[in-house]
Amino acid sequence: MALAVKRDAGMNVPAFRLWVEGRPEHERWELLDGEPVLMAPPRERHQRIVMNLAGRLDALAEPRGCRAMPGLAILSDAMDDFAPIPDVVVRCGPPLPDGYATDPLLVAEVLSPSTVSLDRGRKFDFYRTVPSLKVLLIVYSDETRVELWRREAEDWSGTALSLDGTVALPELDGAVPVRDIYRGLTS
Amino acid sequence: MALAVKRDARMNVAAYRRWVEPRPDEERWELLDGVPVLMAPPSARHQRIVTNLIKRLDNLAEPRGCGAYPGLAILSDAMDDYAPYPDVVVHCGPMPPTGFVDDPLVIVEVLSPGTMTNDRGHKLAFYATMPSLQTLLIVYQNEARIEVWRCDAGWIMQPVGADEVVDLPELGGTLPVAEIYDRVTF
Repeated sequence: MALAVKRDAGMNVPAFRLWVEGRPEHERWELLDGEPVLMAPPRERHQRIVMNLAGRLDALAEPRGCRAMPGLAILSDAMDDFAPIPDVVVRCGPPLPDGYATDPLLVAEVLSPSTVSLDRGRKFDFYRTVPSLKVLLIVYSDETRVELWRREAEDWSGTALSLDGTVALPELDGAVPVRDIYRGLTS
Repeated sequence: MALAVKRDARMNVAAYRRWVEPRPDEERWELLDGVPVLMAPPSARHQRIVTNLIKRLDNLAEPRGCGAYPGLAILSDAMDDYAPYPDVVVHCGPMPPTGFVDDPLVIVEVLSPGTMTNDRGHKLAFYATMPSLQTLLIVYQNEARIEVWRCDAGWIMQPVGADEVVDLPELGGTLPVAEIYDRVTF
């Protein structure tokens, strides 16, 4: 469980971007609560889910001038000490000059056993401060369960879906069956 | 959503205990991430689940010299800016002299929609710093789902569904999920 222990060493986003520039290309770092955190290589099961989900979302997004991508960092004006990298981001509009997006439409986190409380806690609170974000998906990798969180007026409401459920995405005029997200996986 | 916005206004436990003392009795305040947060009145459904939990847990706890309590605050030596109130705490040994304990055996949080990110995130990381804690249960309110987090499993989550049973070896017993949701309809 990743804990932000050193309160006083907090880094903000500009300092983090400067710092991360000097790191080797193959290292992936997130800024979480003012602390740079190295991302561990994900499990194959996790990556399979990411590919399934990104593929489905991209097919829905493309005709609308949008796309689904892995590996983009998200920034929010409201919190200057976070730059998390969700597993999948859907965004529209012109391509970014760099890897930092401030205008995601949808963010998906595929849970790993070691990051569950971080992904559902602090990161979730951060994503909610991004005004463009309409949908947040939390996809469990060790069970067939997808939580669909949607911005409604001032608040967010969540629904849990199981294998026979469908992730309805009116903002992309489509839907993704939960079964498709876990395609190729037998648990 | 409770966000800790003002970093510099952060309170530690000692300052919080001084601050909370003169507050009216009916107000319940948690200290989360250095910020006092007022607890909203829970729903009847939430309290039904809490009552079911306490009945069952207290029955298991009593013969072992332990007890199940609602409304005790938890303090940890490892983090000086948290004092959360879990929904149920199982504590062993003599009854704690105050409302603050630092040696819980089992902690249960019943999720409310408004506190979900705290209960499944920050607080959980805080509870995992407590050496005495064996089991943490996250109980969902709108579905029959209990997440079991155990110290001896490296605090890796194990979900338990409607027809299943939660094992509590530290209390020498079990918690049938159906019993936790008794009189609750979905």
